[in-house]
Amino acid sequence: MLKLESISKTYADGTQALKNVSMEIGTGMVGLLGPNGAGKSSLMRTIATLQTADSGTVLLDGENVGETPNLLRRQLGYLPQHFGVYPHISCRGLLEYLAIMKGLNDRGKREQQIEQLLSLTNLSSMAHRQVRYFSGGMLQRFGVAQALLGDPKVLVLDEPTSGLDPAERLRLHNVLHDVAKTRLLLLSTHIVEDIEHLCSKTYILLSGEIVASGVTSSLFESLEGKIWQGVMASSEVPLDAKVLSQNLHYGEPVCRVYAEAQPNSNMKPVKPCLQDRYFLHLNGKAFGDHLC
Amino acid sequence: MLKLQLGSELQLQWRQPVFLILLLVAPLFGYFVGQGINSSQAELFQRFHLQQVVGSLSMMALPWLSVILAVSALFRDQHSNMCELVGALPLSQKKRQGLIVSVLLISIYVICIVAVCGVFVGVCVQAQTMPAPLTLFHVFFQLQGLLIMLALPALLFFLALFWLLRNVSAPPMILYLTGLLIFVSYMAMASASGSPLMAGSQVPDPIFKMFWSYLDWFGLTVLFTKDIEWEVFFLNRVVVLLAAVLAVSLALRWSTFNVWGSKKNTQSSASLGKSKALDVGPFKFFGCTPKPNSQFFALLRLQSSQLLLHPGALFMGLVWGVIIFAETYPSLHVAEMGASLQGVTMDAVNRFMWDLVPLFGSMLILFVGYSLTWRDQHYNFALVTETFPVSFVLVFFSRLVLLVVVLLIFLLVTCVASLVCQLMGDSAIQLSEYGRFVVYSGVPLAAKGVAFLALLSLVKQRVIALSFCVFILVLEFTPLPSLLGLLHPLFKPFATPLQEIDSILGYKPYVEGFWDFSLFWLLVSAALVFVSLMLNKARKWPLQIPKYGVALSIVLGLALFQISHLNHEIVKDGNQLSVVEQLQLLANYENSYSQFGDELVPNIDKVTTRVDLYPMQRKAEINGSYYLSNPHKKPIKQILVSEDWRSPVEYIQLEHESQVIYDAVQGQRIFQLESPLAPGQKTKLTFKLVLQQSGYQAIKSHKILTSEFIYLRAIPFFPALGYQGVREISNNDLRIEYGLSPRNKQTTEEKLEVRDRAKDRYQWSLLSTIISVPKGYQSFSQGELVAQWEQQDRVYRRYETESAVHRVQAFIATPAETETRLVSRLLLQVAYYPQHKENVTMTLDAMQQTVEFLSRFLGPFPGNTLTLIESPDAGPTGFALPQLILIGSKLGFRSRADAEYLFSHTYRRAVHETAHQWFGHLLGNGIQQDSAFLVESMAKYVELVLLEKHYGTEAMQALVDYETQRFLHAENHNREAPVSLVNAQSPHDKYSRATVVFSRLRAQLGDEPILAALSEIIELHRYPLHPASSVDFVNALIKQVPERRAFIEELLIQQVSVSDWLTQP
Repeated sequence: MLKLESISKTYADGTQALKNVSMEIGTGMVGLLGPNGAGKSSLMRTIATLQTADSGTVLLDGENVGETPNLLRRQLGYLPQHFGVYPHISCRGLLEYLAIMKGLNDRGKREQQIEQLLSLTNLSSMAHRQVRYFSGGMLQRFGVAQALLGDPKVLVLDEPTSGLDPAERLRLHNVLHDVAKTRLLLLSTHIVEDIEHLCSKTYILLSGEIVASGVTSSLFESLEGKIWQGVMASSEVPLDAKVLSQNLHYGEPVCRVYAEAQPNSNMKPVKPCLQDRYFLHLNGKAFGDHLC
Repeated sequence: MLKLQLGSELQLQWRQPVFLILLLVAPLFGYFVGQGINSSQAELFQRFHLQQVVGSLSMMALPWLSVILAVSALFRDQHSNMCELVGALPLSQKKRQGLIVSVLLISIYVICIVAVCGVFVGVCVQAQTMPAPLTLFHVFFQLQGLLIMLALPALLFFLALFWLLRNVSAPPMILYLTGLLIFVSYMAMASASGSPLMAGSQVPDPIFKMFWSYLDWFGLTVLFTKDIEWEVFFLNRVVVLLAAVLAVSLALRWSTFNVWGSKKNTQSSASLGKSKALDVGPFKFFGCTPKPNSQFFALLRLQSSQLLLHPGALFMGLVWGVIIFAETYPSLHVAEMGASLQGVTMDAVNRFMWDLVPLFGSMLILFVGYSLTWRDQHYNFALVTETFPVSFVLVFFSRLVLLVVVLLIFLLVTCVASLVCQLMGDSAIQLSEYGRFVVYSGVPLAAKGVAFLALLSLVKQRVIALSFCVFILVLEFTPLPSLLGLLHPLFKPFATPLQEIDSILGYKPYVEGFWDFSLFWLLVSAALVFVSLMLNKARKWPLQIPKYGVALSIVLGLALFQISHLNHEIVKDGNQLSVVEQLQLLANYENSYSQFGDELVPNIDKVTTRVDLYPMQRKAEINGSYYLSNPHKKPIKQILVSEDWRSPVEYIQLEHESQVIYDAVQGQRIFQLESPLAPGQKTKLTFKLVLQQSGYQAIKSHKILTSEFIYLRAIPFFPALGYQGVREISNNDLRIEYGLSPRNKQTTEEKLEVRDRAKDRYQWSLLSTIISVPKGYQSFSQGELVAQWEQQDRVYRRYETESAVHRVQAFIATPAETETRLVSRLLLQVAYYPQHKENVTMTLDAMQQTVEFLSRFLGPFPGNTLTLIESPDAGPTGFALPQLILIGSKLGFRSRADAEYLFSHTYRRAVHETAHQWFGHLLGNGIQQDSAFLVESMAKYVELVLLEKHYGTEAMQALVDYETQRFLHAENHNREAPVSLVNAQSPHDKYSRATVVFSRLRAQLGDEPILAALSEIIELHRYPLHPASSVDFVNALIKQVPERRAFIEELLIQQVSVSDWLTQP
């Protein structure tokens, strides 16, 4: 069990990245959702012991990670949002190095796991190539592979699907789903669908604060009967309805709104989703109210 | 549009921290250069001095400044991962690069302008009286003009070169290496072409100098000649600009082929179809138990593969090997012009151990330390690696081990390159010497490397961390500490007292000091490591103060103890005073004691000395007695006795009852006699002196106390009687600065004219010395060996002069062998180390022929024994004391004349030093205002005569040609008004010009009148008669050939430019 108690973090330039964030994460996949700059990566870095919180504690099975960071590091698999790699070293060589650093000492087991991971991330045929020449998606898959090295009980993945093609994305979903059965996996992304598909529990982070949390499905169940969709521009939406999003469907504007009652006859009730809840929070200030 | 783009690029460049730091440092550096290069007040604002400061500034700073900013600007896109973004802008590659380089040029030039402002202030600070504002204005613009003329073309050339390198895909390291090569090669070229910026002691090859005049990128070679050839200077500037244009055009050409950016793999990944993309398959986790040793070796393996298997690293290793080869091979067997030696490992090692290895080694460890510390950040991989369960201690020590490995490889490559030189040069190889080289070069570099690693790990901002390291290097490799008046050796970080090795002393004299200094620096590095472990930038968790605090305290305690130990040992070599403190001491001495200049001083009739030398302890105990008498017609009421302030006497007592006033600061004692010393009355002064040398500082002249060789000269350690005029500051600028009245510049003739002839006095005495050494050592002092006995494992020898001799006593102990030759009743002996016997016979021949020649024409040698001793190269190359001669091992004993060269310098040098027994110790002492001509110039005359006799006229002419070249070279840089030869003091006059003058005199007058004139003055001025002056010789010569008065006066007396008549046939 990973427990965050009132974590706050302000950077040297005055940016308050995290404000009193508290979380409890058990086995399974937990999603962290938020727009750019919401503080997701800051929270991830804090959990991954890459930075210390100004206040608050991170507890792993009741132990304060701040005092004994290696306690978490020994069980951590971490994928940062952006990362580079060393030059002049092959994909397999780098994984080998990282495995040893994580403590996978048995050569046979190490090689076996690396082979599995290469296969799992579809990098087997590129294993001999230098990672620095990998494309963005390949690098991302390499990142996932390195995070899964060893026996990580806590997986912290920051935007793992970014840059992946649809097939690889689905493949990764399956991997993560399998992994999360026995481990704690914190997934940060702003791709709402990923969380909706994968995570049993979700935290929504806005401006460094948790604005909503809970079982993912429960987060939008309450919106049942209040989400409407119609082919129209947002400017045509009645004033008492709150526009959540406007998509284009075959070139036609499709507006999705929140309203207690049907805004007009062109708008039909639709099944709510996590994205509705997310946009509702995202646009909360503009609406001038608090819906959480 | 272009203006806007330029402005925008300029803004970007000027926001870079490295630019801002350099902009701040530039005026300070300029100030130190302006203030640090001394000049007389008259010359301070003259063109020569100004071009010297601007030249020095450019030479020292411009390559570094250019390369640092060039790397920062040319690699900015790549470092910031902006290549693709910027590459897609609607701006051609050529134009964009042109913009960056233009802005770079402007930025560096702005820094140069600011630095020159600092120079201006530094120069003004030196001025005693501030010139008129208009003059200052003129000086300021002259400095800026020099900057344009000297630095700007060079800057253009550097930038064009870096731009070209960048466009041929050279990594930053290659650019830094190029900057270093530019810096070092210019130093080497300046030194080889005799630039005054580099002391200019070397005589350059004329073709090389001409070649370099056109290619010198700062154009200083032409400017530092006496008659500047302006057309050559402007041609040189054009050549440099053309080189820059060529490099720019090549860079532009390459820019079309290379887009600045990183290569990405454009190959597609494995096809999805083949790889069952959606099938996850079985996956198994394995338990992890981090093992420090596995992690350590994994770190080591990765970092070494990253660092050492890099093509750049291999290229650098190759370049380094070539540099060592190029430095060592051509000079391995060279002793001096026309002479070579059988170069051994020691000679090879000396070529690179003292400059190249420390400088390049320091740069290398800084680069390696930086790469290792910032590698993860540089490649943006730190976010992954920092989450590993690895302790920082482990990471740090893996870096440390790798740094040491790289250092060892560096030293190994050096050794291999040198070994190749030796093998190709058929030189005797001593592998143990290479072992010592690795240890003595490696330990300080390793200590420095540890400190760099610690600093780089400690400080969060890499620019600041690097600045700390660079500052350490600046302190170590530039004269900044001495410019700041910080003379203690510890202000040179990681420096040790080790000096160039020779065949006699090797490293031995400094080994103890080396290890103590190294230990101190290792402790400093260890302390930095502990601080780094406590506060390192990677650690975000509670500080580890309690864990490492105790260790840090212990290390700091040991370091403090070591400082006190070092200080104690340094003081053993003599008190440490800065130049300013020494000058102040001299000024105070003159102010306080100049009234004793008119006091009567007793004569020292005899000196008896008992000297116990302890080579292994590096110590000498001396008990001396001066037998004094009053030679004057008036009684002496008080006697001023000076001691050397660096080595105070332990005991001093005057037999005559007296009261003593002791000035410990000045080392002066005034013995106020209870009853005056009546004319003819005698008394005795006894003293005890203990001298030690600890090997914590470089050996200075006239005090070598080592287990292999001991040489002590009585002056300056023995007490001196009366006011010592030699202690007065002679430079008028300094006199004014220290509150003393300036002196009118006088020629020797004028000085001789106005001197008080009563004060002309030979400082001659009878000498009686008992010198004791451990068994196995020879010992020498002035006089004949009259007794020898052994007592308690020590050998005692008693030397006595049969008559008074010039009182410059010396005491020498050496485990050498001797070879003797009896010439009439004079015993000639040469003390040499058995392995250096080759030149002994020739040396004895030279001594014999000189003694026979001079005895025949000028009277017998004043003594029974003349000993020539092989001395370490740490001492003087050749030095003559009464009845004792020291000649350095390398040039005097190990070298041999080249077959095609017409004469042997070994022979010539032995003749010269033997001649000093007449010229220097018979004539040419006793008149304080006059010495150089009768001592050095006359010895050069004897060289000419003996060379002609021994080797023939052609050989003599070869010496004349050699000295002519030396003279012309030195004269080229000479800015003093012409002086007569008898008045000349500078080496190029008293040696080289004298050789040319005497060759002319001999050609025109023959030897007969010269020898007759010399014979006459010796007859008339022999001790104890009135001493002779140089003018006495000129008059005597004119007396011999009155019809050639004009010719003699032109050569010896007239203050004409020598170049005017030198080129005439």
